[in-house]
Amino acid sequence: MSDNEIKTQKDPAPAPLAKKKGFKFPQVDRTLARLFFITIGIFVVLSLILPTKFPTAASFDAMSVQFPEIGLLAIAIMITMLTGGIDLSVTNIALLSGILAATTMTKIIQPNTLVPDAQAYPVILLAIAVSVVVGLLCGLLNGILVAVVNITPILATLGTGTLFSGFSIVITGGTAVFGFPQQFLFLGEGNIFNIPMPLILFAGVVIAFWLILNNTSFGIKLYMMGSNPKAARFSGVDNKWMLIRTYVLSGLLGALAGLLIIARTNSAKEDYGSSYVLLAILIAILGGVNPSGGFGRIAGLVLAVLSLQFLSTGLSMLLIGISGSNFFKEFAWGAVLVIFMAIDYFSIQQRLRSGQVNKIVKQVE
Amino acid sequence: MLKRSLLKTEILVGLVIVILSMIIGIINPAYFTIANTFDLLRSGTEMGIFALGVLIVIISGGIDVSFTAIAVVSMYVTTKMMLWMNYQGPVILMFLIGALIGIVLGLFNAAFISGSKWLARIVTFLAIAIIVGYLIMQILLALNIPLLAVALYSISGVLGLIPAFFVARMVHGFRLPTLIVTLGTQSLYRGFTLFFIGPYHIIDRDMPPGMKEYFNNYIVSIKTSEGTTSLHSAIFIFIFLAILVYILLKYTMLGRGIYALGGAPEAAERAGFNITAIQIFIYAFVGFLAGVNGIVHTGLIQIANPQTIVGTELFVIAAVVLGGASITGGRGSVIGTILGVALVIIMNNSLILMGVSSTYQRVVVGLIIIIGTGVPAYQALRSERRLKVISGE
Repeated sequence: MSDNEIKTQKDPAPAPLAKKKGFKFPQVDRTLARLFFITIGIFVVLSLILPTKFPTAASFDAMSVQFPEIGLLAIAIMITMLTGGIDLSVTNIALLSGILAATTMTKIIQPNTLVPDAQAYPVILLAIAVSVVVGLLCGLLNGILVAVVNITPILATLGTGTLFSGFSIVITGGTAVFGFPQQFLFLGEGNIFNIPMPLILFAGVVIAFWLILNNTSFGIKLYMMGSNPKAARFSGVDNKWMLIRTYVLSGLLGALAGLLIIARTNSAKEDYGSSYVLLAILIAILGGVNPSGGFGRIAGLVLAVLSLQFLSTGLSMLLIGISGSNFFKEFAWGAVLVIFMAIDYFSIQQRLRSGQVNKIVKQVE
Repeated sequence: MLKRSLLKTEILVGLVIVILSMIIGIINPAYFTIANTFDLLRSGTEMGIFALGVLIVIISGGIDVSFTAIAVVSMYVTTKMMLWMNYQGPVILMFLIGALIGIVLGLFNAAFISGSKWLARIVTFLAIAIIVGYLIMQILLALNIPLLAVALYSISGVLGLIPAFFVARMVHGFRLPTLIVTLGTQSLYRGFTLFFIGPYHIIDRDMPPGMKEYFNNYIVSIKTSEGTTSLHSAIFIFIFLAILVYILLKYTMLGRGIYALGGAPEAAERAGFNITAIQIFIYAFVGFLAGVNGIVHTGLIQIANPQTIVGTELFVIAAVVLGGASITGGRGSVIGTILGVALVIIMNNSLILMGVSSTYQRVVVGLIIIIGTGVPAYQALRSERRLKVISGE
């Protein structure tokens, strides 16, 4: 992300519409600019504290494999938050689809055996197809419950999340599925031109969603619906169909994240990544996504996931040898989430008081 | 109209419980034994106390998922504190300390949710003082300046307090989304306990003597062919709290305010309710209930394990919603909640009696949540449409 690109970003609220009119806000997008400096700041501070450990090729390699899966989950949370909802079931979708893909592979190919490419690829493709279809179906169920049955998204996805994790337990019986064909592990461990596969996948998804959100009617309608559902409906947006599509997309992202997780760890278990929901929400909020809908940019999300990964890796390095460093991270994520939201709220209030923000933002806020 | 629909939910849930009990009893007569009844009551005591708090939050239009973590802090910190003090007295002190911890943590939640100026200022002040003070201390230590320990602490303390004071003065209160705040504080409370206080459980024989006595504080003990089964007195705590919440919601201005806040916050404010004060009370009260429940949990389970309890909050929320509370606020009753808790507990505990493998438990609970929230949501949608047709919109 270059500095230049940030300066051309417009104010988050009316951006999609403003673009069409050719109207440009002179102001730099504050959220993005601030996040950019936070990310750089975290990086610099950690590099100063841990000069021999943090800014090294090895740690970058490790990081670039870790953050894509959580990044995908955060994008799923982001697009559902843009509609004013939330998808709490996305990690459960990831694990269910991952586990189903894993069992597909281990049922056909004996675990931990080497098989020729010709034999392995059809199975891998089948497994990927299974996981994608499962992700889409789970997303469809969420979408129908939210849009048609009209259940509050928090509760609907809480219920489906419990249901999906229940299915995962039923399928695995609570044990781990492991030993996938070597060719599949390429997805998690391999690299092309020295760039790790997970990073390439994540970059692809980010670009795709950047295009979807900024350049398609779907994206523009999504922002419209999120900021004012009634107005969107009266301007011809089919809110129900939009909601269903958003949750299906979220399910698809969950499935992709699930594939990455099982390919990276070479195993699938139903309680893996249970703390990912909070982290994904944290990334979305940190990235400037408004949980009540309508605001949020993909660039902010990418910066947020990067800064959190820096922090996570840095904390791990600092706390090495201290027992329970995971618990400290749990504490830190909670604190960061609350502190960041408070600062954000505080700064909006400050600007409102000094009259810098126009009335539109005031109403939405 | 409103009352009738609520009553209908209660009767419906009651009917489901009766029918379900009959089916389970026919499949496995062990369901109707005293041992099983006591077992259900014990599980119900714990979930019930949580549910009373969740009920109040949900009626007010919010949602709290941090109460399980508050219970963990209360349970573990209180037990550790008693052991450290080598406390030999009765268990009542543990309840008081647990409740106090709960109230403080509840107020911490409220500081971010209620919009209260003073709570926000206090929290901001403490947070900045601690963070800045700690950083300055680290810098002083890193610079290797020869200082006495007293001087070190006082310099960093004073340097931390100054910015804290000025920033806190600028804060005018926070109104943040309840779900996300409590998700954050849940993680914060639990992580704090596990990292700073300790991750290891305390087993029954290491407990303070007062607590050990409380383990056996039974109302009745009955000898059966498979040994004695007993009913713990903690159920009285639940009954007392349930009556308290019932009276609070039904007969006090504060209770009416909670309903009004959940129905329409703006209207409630215009009608003269101090919604900030109401919200402070709500979250502090939830914290109080969770704090008490942390000690009750220790008494019932006879172990203080900081890695449990968190994760059960969804079941509690599901029970409250099943009992007829509307997740969008403004609706819900104590009796409905008790029935909802009974239903979830029976479902949870009796699947094994029915011969359903325990692996299916989560599937069933997921379905309960979906159906339990789906049916009223769909009904609300339909009645809304009907209203529109009548009014010709």
